[in-house]
Amino acid sequence: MSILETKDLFFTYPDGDERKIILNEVSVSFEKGKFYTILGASGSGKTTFLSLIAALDQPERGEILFHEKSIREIGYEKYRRNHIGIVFQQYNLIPYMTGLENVMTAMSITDNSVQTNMKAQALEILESVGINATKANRKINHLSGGEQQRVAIARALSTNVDVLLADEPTGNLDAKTSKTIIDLFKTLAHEKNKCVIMVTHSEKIAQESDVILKLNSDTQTFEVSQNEMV
Amino acid sequence: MKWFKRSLLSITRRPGKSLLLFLVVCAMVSLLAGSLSIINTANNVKNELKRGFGAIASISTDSTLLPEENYETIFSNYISGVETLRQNEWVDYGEYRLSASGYACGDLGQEFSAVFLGMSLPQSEQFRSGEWELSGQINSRNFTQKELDNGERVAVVNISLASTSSGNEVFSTGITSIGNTIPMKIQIPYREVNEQGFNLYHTFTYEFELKIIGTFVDHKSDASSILIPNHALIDIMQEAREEAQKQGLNTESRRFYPDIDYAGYKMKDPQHLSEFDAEAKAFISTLPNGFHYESSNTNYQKNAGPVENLDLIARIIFIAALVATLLILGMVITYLIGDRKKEIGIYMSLGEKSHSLISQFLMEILIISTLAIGTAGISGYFLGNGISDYMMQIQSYVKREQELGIRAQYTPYNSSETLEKYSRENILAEYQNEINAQYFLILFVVGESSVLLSCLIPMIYMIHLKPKEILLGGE
Repeated sequence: MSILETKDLFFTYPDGDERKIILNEVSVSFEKGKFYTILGASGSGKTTFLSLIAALDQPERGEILFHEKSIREIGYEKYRRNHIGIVFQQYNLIPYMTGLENVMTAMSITDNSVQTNMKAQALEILESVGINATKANRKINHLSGGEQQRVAIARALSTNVDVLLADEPTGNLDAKTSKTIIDLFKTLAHEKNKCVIMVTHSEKIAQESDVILKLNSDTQTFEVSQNEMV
Repeated sequence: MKWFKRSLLSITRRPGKSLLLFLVVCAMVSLLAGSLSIINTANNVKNELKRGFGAIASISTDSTLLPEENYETIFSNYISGVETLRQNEWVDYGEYRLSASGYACGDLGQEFSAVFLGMSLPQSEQFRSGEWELSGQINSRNFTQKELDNGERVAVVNISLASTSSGNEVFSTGITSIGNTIPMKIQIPYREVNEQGFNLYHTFTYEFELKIIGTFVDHKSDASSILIPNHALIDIMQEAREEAQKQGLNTESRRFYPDIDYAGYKMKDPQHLSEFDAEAKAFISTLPNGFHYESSNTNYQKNAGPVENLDLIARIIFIAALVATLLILGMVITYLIGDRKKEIGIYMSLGEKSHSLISQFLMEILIISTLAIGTAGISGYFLGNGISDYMMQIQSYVKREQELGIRAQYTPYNSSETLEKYSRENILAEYQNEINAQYFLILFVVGESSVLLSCLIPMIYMIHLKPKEILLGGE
């Protein structure tokens, strides 16, 4: 059963006097326990798709359903607060806070039941992504890129959500660190039963996922392929 | 980490930006505080002056300007008008004074020149101020209100009429014996034109009796005055006119009516003096020339020029500073929010509620501005003191150059002592800027309100930021 589903998503951008179609009636569904990658060239519309399912933007037409309920009905703000976690390429952590404080900030915002013993829970989540207590108490700018991305993943996980959305999360990381992050996503999908949806332009990284959704630049729809290697 | 804790964290972990906001608020609110401090002090001085001048009003007369003929209507209009003003709800007490000249007759038939002063209050202002005092004679008393209202033929006589000296001998006059009824005379000078067209001057005399009920001492004057109810004096003059008419005299002349000295009023509260001024001036406008209205407000306006000007300048500075505060603070807060767009985008991507986001940023601004306003309150006080001292000196100098030397006409309701007490030099001496709880309370209300108002546009801008554009770019 799908946890997240798009129905006939349609989205355009202004292109001179005309509008360029970015997503053309895109219908696709996502399930828990799977690791999805959205593959496409730069400017193809993959990040736009992610921003729509992350409720950071709204489609011109079509619907996004979470557990078969429109996210418009749930409320975009509430949907972001309680049902999804987002990991960005630029990490997007609050710079004057420590890693621990960044995670606790997300926990204090969500309505999910993570409000008791918050600090211990946050440290546990950070530990699970490879950030120990010492590093957790360091200011963000005292952490490496890989460590910052792990904090960002811990922040996305800390709100007890089932869907994790990631926009090129390894884009600024070296190959070794990228691999550990991808392995972390795979673990989250396969062992923690999360639905992980990651945008990437790397065919190689896409090969690590369970399902690849390749954005066809002619039709502006997805070509879905199951990755049998995984 | 709830929004309140995040506010504190942001203030302490971003000291440079917090200091920038602190300094801007401090500078702007110092200007507000300075002008507020001047306004506050000017108000104190104005109130002190108003208290000093009291809440009194008087209608005095210049008899040289009053018409000589057809006086009956003027007189009756005056009496009913001053009586009506006395009934006014804002008036604590009021009285009017009529007078006439004549004689009191002694035991041996001697005539002693006297002035009959009409009374409408048992305790007239001269008795209240101590200028007049009942003498210690047995059974000596003042009028009752009933005696005054009914115009009874009773009198309180100046003790100076008790004896009179001729050379080294002193004769008892018998005029001041309490309970005695004494013959009195009113003398009315009048003019006749004879057949040749020459003016002939005569005196009409009317005799009447008054019962002596008390004696008083006049601490300021040696005048041989006899106090009688105003209505008694009006009746006596009416009888005199009737008698004169029988003799074929023209009694329409002002001389056949009591002289109008003044009417005076004391307000319950100085606040209502302006309303009373308006009513009294409206009444005066119905009378011919010769009647002059003056109140504490008139004296206040003559003397409070420097303070009023300073107050006006301070109010202009205050409004200008307020507008500048709103604009400059608005721009600075917009800049600071723009500088934190990414952070705001992160909160939005985490699904933070708009009201929590606004609360967090407002709390940060309010905490910093509260500290800044407190600091500005003290610096603004010194700034205000410096400016106001300087301005007061300039204003005082200018005013002295323009001095017109207006003197108020004396009545017990317009004391020249009060005018002397509040000379311009004394106002300067009393001008002291005070720092108090009210000053800080007003400053905090005005300062925080300005800060909140300055936040309005930046906050609207903030909640309309698009997290996608901030965090993901525009692909």
